[in-house]
Amino acid sequence: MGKAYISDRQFFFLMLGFVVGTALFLVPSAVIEMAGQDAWLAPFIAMLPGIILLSLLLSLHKMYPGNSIVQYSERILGLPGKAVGLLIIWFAFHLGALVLRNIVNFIDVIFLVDTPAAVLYVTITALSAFAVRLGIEVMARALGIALIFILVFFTIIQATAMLFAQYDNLTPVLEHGIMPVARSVIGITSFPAGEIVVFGMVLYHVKESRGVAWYPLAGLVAGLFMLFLSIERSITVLSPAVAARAVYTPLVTINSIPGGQILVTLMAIIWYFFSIIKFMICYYAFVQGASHWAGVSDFRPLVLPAGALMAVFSIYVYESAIDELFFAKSIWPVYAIPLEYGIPLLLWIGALLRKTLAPGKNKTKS
Amino acid sequence: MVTKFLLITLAYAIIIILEVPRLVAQKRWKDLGAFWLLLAPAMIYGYGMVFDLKLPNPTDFLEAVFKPAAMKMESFFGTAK
Repeated sequence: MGKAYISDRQFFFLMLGFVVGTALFLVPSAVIEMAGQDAWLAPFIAMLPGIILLSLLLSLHKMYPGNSIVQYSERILGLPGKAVGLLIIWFAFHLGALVLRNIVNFIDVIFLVDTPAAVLYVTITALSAFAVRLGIEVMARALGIALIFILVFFTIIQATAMLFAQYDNLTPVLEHGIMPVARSVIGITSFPAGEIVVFGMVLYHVKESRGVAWYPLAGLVAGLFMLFLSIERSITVLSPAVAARAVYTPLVTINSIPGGQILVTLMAIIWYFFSIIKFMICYYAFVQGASHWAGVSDFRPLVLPAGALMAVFSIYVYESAIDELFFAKSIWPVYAIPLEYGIPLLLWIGALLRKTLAPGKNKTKS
Repeated sequence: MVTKFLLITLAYAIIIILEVPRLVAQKRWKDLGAFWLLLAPAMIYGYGMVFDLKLPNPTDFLEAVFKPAAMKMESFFGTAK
């Protein structure tokens, strides 16, 4: 199998798209509900754990170039590394299924109300399967082109909404102390900042160059900054109380400004674009992880069954919307943070120990 | 239920027809094993939904395991409802 390469600039696009992802619509109402008018602080504080996680991944990438996280976890930890790899594959799979569910829910609730949800699941998964089969190079290049339009749309929406911003809504600062803000930071730390652990399955495609650390970090920071803009827009245009009650807060924001209905289409395109990037990356990470784990030479035959599994699971995963909200708000942080931050930290410490205890061993192996 | 059954069978049949003959012809048995390892749970859960079977849901398991910790976190931050 020929090795796929992406440039570091393409990796920047992937990272930006992934971090914004489904968070663009789901994070604002969640953090505003927790922290009220101070929610805009959360993305900035959550940059720190995100940057630490990304540094761990980049450092591991440097120690084991050309290996994915599933492969080097086996090389670092031996047989238990197989189990750690399985956890990563499970995480990519679970995250992908949840993202697919979010995409379908949004289309189902807002636009195609009469279409059976199963049709949407099948079409979106089939489309993504096509993209994943073509490989990461094609995906990265296509996303790079589309992202330019999306950023223009985003700027148009932001600029229009800011005409109707009431900055009084941002005061008083820290009315209820630091705790609600800390809780919303935990929320953003687990979703979306920590989810970049999935990039352990993509990072090994990046061609070696001097700026390799700079572009991914810029992607993460830019993604979180776009989330900040989205949160700030919701707080200033709506009030925090209204914003916290809406399900898709940015959509309500756009609808509430005069003439904003014209922009709803742009908003929907932005949301769909970002979430489908996130879904494709999770899908790709799942398929690639499964093929590396099983030691299969080519991941392409696994694309379709993996997609079927994800689609079925995303229908099956929750019984009701209440279930979903509770899981996303309370269970997800305590479940995901150990996986997202614990696994790379464990692998990094293991790799360092290996390097210091047996300096010659690694070199002969690679 | 009959249409659902037929449609889902059609979907799985398409997946199998697209991939399996090539893998068998090239004698890539490991790939074929991984293929079935992914498709089998998808088929079980797919048909389980058609026939309304009660299959174990991983979400229930995760909720049972992580709920105490989640409640502790919410009460620590004073955001418990």
